[in-house]
Amino acid sequence: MNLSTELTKQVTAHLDEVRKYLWALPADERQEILQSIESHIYDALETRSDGEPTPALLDAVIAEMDPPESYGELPTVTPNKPKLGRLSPIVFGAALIAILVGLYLAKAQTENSPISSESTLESEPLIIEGVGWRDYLLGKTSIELTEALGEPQANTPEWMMRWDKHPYVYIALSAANACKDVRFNRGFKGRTSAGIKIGSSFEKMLAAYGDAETIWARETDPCVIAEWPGKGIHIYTYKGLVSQIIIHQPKPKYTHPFKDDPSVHGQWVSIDFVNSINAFQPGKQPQESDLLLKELTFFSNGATSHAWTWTQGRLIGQNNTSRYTIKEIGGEKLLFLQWMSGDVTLRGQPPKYYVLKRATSKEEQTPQLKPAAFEQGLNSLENEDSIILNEVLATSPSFAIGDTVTAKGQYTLASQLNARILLTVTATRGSGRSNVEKEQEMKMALGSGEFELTYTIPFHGCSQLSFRDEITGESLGGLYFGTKQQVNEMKSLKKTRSPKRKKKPTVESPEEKSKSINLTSLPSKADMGEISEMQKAAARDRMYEDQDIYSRDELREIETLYQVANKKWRSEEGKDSLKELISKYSSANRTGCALLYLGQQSTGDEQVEYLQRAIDDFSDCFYGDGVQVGAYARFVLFHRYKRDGENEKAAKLADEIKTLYPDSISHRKQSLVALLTASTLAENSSGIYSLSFENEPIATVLAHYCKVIGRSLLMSTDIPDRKITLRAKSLTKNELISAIEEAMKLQDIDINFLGDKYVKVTLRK
Amino acid sequence: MSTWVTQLRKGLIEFCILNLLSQGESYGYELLQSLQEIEELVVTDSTVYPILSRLRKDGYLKVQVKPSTSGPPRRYFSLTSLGQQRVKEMNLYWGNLQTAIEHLRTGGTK
Repeated sequence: MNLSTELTKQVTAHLDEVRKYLWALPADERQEILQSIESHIYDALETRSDGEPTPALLDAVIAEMDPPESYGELPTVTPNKPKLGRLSPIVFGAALIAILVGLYLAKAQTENSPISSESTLESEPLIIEGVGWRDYLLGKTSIELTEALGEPQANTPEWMMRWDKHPYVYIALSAANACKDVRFNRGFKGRTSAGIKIGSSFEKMLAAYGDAETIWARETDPCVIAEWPGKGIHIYTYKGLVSQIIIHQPKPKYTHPFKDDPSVHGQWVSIDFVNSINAFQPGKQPQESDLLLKELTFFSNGATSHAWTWTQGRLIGQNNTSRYTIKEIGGEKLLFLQWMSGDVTLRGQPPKYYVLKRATSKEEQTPQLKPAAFEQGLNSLENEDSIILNEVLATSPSFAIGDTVTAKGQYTLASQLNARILLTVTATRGSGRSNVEKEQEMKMALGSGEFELTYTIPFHGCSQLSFRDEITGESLGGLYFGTKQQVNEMKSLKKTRSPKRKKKPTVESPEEKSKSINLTSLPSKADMGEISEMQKAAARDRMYEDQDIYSRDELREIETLYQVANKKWRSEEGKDSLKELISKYSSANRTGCALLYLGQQSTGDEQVEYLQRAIDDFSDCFYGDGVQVGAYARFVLFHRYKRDGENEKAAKLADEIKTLYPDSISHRKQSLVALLTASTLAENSSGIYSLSFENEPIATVLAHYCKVIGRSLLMSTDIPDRKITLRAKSLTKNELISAIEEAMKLQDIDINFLGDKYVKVTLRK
Repeated sequence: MSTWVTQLRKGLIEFCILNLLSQGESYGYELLQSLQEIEELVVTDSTVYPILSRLRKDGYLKVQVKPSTSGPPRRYFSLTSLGQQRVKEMNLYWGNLQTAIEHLRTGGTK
């Protein structure tokens, strides 16, 4: 049923009115109740009207519902009247003098301060964090705001709205022209529901809202900004007093993804500590002789020599971020680093700056790789796979955090047609994860060869060379090495971990070796980049849905429980934490991820149960990297069924992935459909091929044809962009090749061999 | 009179909602219609919708959003396993309470 614009406005107006009375509830509950009321109105209209609902009918439906005030009470401000009580004349006189002196000082301060600290008008409605103030409501479109507040001032930027009647209040618009945040500037006399107004002190602000989730400072002026994203507010302070209040929709805590800045890599030593960047005078005696921060090293992986991490332009602490900037002064590059002391984070004073210079030049700083003695530890390679480690070069013999390690040797891959060899470190104390750089992995095909891999150690642990399945990333076994202590730590850790993985059947003959077919993604890298971004956006949308269901505290707990497992991957503590998350939060996005995690970590019936539950109830959930639970759980279960020989079940899952999740990706940003499509050529256990191309492009079928015959494809540009379906079971390799060739003939496509390496594919003229 | 009736109604509405949902999922408006059939409960939207929200928050209900022909997507509520447990406990308690009170009213012994 569609309502006319007029009626839709009337419904929205009613909801806005109710919203005001729900202010005391957490945002998620408020939203939930409003959704129920809105649905109620539509349902009631549909029940009672045959055709288009009329304004009179809508009036009647709303009139039959409870009035907005039934849902709560409007916030009120209690005036803070001084309690004089019964005072003796002396005390009264002293108090009067104190008040007069206070008033004089306050006036003087106001005149000198850039911030107006006018008294609050007690009749003003309160600013509701995460909601709005008066008709300045978050999420309202510019048209709705104009209808509610009249024509805005014309002399504002396009993305901003402002009205004469409230000159100190601005609205910032989103790209969709909706109210993204409301800004209350100097001169505004209202206060927030927590009692904060323009001119309130920094300490009072922290007392009202609790420790800020993030505090940062501008470099250009003494402005310190405190942010509470979960509460829907952030506040700008100037010299310790509130100068601007900004409210927005509540959102998760901000994160700062790592962005490299090679200009800062290496070690820096402190040479001065100054009040501002401009206060630094080169060559002058340091303002402070004993500097607390002696040195700071920026590692290329985002770690530092202290407890902070860093990304381009920022040093990130637990609850604050410092800006750093590199300036060339007197021919020397100097790093200025904001120092977020208690004066800044507790009192809102502008930060001071450490001035640091390079310990040595960057080139000199780069440690040299030298041959390093190493102990060889556990070796879990099977099925005639082997890794022989001939030489290890390292920047120090201790294989410590920040050390670069190069491993050289020979490999033999016998168990699969294709795999990757990877140089990594396994955490032995706490946990750790890091991105895989191209220097630390190498693709390989069945047979033997040499490898040389390089890696910078990001956390404490034991180095490892391992084979990984190219499709699933599953480890096929490996070899540990490092110092004696690291190797021993690894040994004792392994004793406490899960039993050895299931042994794979040994490959007997070259013919049988081709059972494992290299699965490659079909879309180009550029396509996958786009698809991956699209999936990430879908993931963000799904995560935001949780905000409609759960309170901020609940969302925080969900994330905490999830991160325990994320940090302690495969540990019992991690599993328990995920189980708690699943039992407590039945609708959260992370619950879907948790089930899939547990599904990947478990075996036997338990694994199938976890994965099936993830598929049944949480298919719409996403990991932050864009991997969708519904798709990936099916993918993992697909492989499980394949291993178990339950081919029908596996085929059903593959079909579901292709039809329901055509854009789904793996954690390695590969198209799941492409991976599955390739696997349609996989042989069954008796060495016989099967074909199952369902509405696939001709180019895809040809690509796999070439893979089977071991030749490269040369395809003319006029091959039609048609899709074909090709199904057959129990084929020998030759029968499979013939089947594809015959199918191509039917499409008027000629296949000709060119030399020993190529297949030329042309359209028959 | 009115105060204790109000208090009693409040608890009973939650009890009735959980029992209605034990028969299958339902959405706000439909639940409200069903509850309004019990005239003595005097149920209105401002009572039911906040209770639904709270029960969901407490983990007794889960929500599934489905498209609706009437307008915006409907939020279908159903019992979680915790909710099912809660209904069982409440029904057991209700039965025992009813019997005990009936005994009390008729002067019988338990």
